[in-house]
Amino acid sequence: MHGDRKEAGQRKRLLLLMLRHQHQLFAYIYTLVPHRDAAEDLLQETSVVICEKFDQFEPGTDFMAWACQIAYWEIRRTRQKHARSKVIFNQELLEKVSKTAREMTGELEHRHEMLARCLEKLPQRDREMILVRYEPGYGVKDAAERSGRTLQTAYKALSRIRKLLFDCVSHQLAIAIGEF
Amino acid sequence: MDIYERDNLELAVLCNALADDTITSDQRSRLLQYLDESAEARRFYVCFMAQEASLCGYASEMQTDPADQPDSGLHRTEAAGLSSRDDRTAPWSITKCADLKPLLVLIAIAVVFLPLFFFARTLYKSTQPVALDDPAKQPFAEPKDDGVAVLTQAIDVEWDQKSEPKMGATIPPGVLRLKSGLAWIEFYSGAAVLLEGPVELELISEDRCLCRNGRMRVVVPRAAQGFTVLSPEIKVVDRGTEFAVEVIPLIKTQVHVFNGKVELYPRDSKGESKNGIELLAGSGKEIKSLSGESFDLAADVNAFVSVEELKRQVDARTAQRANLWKQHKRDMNQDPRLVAFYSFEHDEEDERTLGSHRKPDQLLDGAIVGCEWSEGRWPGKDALEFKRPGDRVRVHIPGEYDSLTLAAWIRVDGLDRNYNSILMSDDFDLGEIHWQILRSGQLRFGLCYSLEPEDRVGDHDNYDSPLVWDLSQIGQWIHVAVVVDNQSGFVAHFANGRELSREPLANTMTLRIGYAQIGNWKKGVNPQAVRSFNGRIDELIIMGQALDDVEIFELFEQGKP
Repeated sequence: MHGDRKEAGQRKRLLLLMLRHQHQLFAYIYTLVPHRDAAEDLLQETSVVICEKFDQFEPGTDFMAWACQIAYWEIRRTRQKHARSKVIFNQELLEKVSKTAREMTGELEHRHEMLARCLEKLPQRDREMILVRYEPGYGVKDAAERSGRTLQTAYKALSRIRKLLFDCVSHQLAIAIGEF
Repeated sequence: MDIYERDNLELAVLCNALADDTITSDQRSRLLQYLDESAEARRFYVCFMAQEASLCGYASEMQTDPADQPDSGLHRTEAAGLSSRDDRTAPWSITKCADLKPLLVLIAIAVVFLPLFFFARTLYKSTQPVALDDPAKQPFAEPKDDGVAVLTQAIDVEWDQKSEPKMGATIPPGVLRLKSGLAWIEFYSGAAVLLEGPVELELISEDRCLCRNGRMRVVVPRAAQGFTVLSPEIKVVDRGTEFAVEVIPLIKTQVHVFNGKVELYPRDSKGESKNGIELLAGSGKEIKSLSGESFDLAADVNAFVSVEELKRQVDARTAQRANLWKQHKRDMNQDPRLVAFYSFEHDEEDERTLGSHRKPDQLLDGAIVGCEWSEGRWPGKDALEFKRPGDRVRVHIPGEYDSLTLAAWIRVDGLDRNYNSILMSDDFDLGEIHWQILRSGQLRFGLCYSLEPEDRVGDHDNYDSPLVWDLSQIGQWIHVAVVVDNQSGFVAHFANGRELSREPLANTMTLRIGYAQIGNWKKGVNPQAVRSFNGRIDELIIMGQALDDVEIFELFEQGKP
């Protein structure tokens, strides 16, 4: 009886932690494996391992650090399987980029939040472009068709919009305080 | 993150190519080379890719037609989850680890509890989008390197602009419009101007400004000689100590010299000393805008607010502040919900004690370790300065509470540690609390909700606010508060009287503080975990009930410097 309750507590904790950190974990994986489908598969596989090893996780310690570590080893373990990406890092570079990504966790979280506000500010046409481009199962070709652009123009537009968002996020980070 | 601005946009081009899968093998080699050789390139890459990941996430949430989705595991579960997103009563289900897909479905369903996603969700309702590339709507530049002056005094000021200058914060070049009140602005060159609203002044550089409208007095120490004030008609170059300028657009400009001397030149004259007119102390000049005629006048000290007058008003305001604060203390002491009130008053007879409102009862008094007494929100208000890793105030707050409100006036001077304690219970026992600031600049409230016998530290929930501190807030006094309400089941963070975030309580339980520390944490559990606060605190209030938004706002209003 007590054991069941403890297990239930465990699962609830795990759920909460995954809720909070899943998008960060995906960002970390995607940075090291820059291919969306491969990264999503890796996220699933990593989640399984996290689930299975959760009783090894020490409550109160840094969940992201622990989860990213697991993701890192999954990435290394399955390098051959996920060679779909056109850019694959060798061991040394994988470590360097991973270290950088880990150091920036806090800043990236803010950028993620601010991005939501910046998306809101995008002109309607640009926002639609983004939403179609990144919709699961869709891509640049669909975004180009839906917005009546040629493929080349669409690539250019996406570059432009990414820069707009990037700069907006950087600005917003600096003035976030002014809002209250 | 300057790479986008730099001439070398190649890295950005490469990242875009990677994101859209158009990258050639040459480009791939270049990208790998960049990442290998440059730490800054890696940082840019990480931000860029994280943005891509975020966009994937946000776009996924915006799916409105689950039937269209391709049959891929993760996507399907997300789509399924979305339709039940509004079902707040979806129960927490128990699953075994082997069943991962249902777990992900639950994650999607339970997404409703994550305020960030909620926030993203409410985003896409119709708003009045401000075009990102409209230069007129760009915010004030980042307060980093391009400041030319600092606002050091302000009395009853009302600004007429979107981004108001803050006390002590640097001001970059640009136009200031003061509707009313007095403002004392010190330029980096050393010169200072006393603005009297209504006035419009354009700051050009550390030793140059343009008065477009209104009255201002200029005080220039020897080292800042050469400080130049432009008006629509003329250029005034300081060669002495003190003068004043009044501009009525399209009508006239007047210059009065009170001390030392100045040189007047036509507005657009290049160089100096050729056609300059010297004006000595006691004299002045008026230049008519349209005709260009000029004539002499006597300097009129009374036409411009003096520095002494500003000082007088500052002192009067300080006295008024002190009185208001005395009233606030009285109100606090009479509030039946009060558990502890630390007013941070320096008692010279007992310097190492932080008195609580129950003095001479002394039960709640804090023991000061290391911290030095310093100045608080206004001259005359005391504060404790927390600088060294060992600085702390040890307190013991007994009692069990259904709800708690913690409120403090704090000034953060730096966020060097991952965790910067405001108030933390020593042992983090059941129901005990941690109130702290993260290195990221967010407030965090931690609550211990279970204590398994094997655990040294109980399981705890963390509730984080959005970003509160960045570079521009360092050194500013801010009112922070957190409300934990078991009855209604939420935790809410406040800053400067406004609610920042509100999250449901994951676990409800009786709250306790017990043995705790202000500005630090007992090194019980993890000897490496330094959690010391870096800055000043000058007030801490603990209430045994949940205050509402209006009351928190009032606390802020009563105490704002």
